[in-house]
Amino acid sequence: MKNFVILFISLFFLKTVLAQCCTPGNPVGGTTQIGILDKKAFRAISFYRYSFSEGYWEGNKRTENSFVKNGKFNYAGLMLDYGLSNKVNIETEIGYFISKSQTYNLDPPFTSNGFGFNNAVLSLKYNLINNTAYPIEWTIGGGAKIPFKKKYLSVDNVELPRGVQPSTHAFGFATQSLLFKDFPKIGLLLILINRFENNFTDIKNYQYGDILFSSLFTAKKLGKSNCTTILQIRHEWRDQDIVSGSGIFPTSLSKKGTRVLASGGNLIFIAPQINYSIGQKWNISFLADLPVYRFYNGAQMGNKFAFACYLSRDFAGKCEANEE
Amino acid sequence: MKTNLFFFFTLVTSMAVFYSCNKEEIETNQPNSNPLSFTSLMAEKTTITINELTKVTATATGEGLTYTWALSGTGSLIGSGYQITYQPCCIGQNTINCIVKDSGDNQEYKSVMITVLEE
Repeated sequence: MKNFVILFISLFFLKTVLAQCCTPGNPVGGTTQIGILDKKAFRAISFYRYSFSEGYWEGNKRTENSFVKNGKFNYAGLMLDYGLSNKVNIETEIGYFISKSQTYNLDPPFTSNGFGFNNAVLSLKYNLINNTAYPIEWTIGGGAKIPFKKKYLSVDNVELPRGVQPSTHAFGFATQSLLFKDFPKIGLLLILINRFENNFTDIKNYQYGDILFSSLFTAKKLGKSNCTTILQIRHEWRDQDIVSGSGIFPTSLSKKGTRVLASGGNLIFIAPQINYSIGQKWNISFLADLPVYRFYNGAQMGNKFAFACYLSRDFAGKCEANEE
Repeated sequence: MKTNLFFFFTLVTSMAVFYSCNKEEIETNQPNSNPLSFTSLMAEKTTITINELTKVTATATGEGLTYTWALSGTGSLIGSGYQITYQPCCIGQNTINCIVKDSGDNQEYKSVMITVLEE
């Protein structure tokens, strides 16, 4: 049960919402479903996420922006996880924006609509501590973010705004850590996840800022049922994006280029979630993502809400097969 | 009989050659009633502050025109067709490029520079 809970907590964590310069939000690529799999075990997860953004924020206050009306996206993804050994797992994640759009208050109203593959992520996880007597687990991981395309997407012969482009168009890396403590007597689980992401510069000399997520989860099983309720508090820090090039006026703010003033910030979310397990093999999970605090650098569109559902199936590895 | 046959083939061949040459000549010399002409690419404002927008308009004549837009620099291009709106992202100089193509695959190119300043 522990692994299933971790699985969905982690899934939720990695599908966070960001509000970079004028974007309706990006699922962050990565594989933080850190619950380690046994050797030769295999896990497949499919998910869908919808996000809606509306209103502009500057610092922690609402501000006016009459140009952009709203932004939203529909995103579907697939994650595969395989146990190379009882301590090492390999993971891959791919995701596709069915639509990623922004609507503008033009006359007539206009919507920029992007679609396509997000960056894929390929990573390894290593289990440092796994003490079953005093239930505690610590797993770390790291991997590469790989863009499917480096060229920007154009629709109707117009290069789409960055906010509706489906990926960062650049390579990058992600590192993560998961620490959890189980209290079996009271059926409570505490989990701390930290994740750091860095993106390289794309072909247009644009670099998304570094990202650091810290997330604390509490999970409690509902009696003897197969349901688990989960509550997450998540903090996201995003550094400002950097752009360089011949046309950019140099500033002293960054050695690498000019910082994009309306990018990055600090956000806190609360996310209630419910998970239902079927026969310890199939899992289905629903969640909502609600911002409770935000501080944006410059004026940026803020996320209003998001929801997601996940379906997963685990296939037995070495240990489970032996038990059977 | 042989002479008539010779004249007949000579006539048919000559007509065929003449018609063929003539047709080609007509095709190549046929004037395009509405040739592509990309007159101008104009920005409402060529210098704006970071919180301003500016419209960019391509003026062209021709048949079956398509407008392709691209940006060298930062910011966003919103819209499609002959007019787009430029939304800046950072201070600096940005070049907006437009290619107009007609139904005969003829194309012309123009660009306009937008300077973005701090508020």
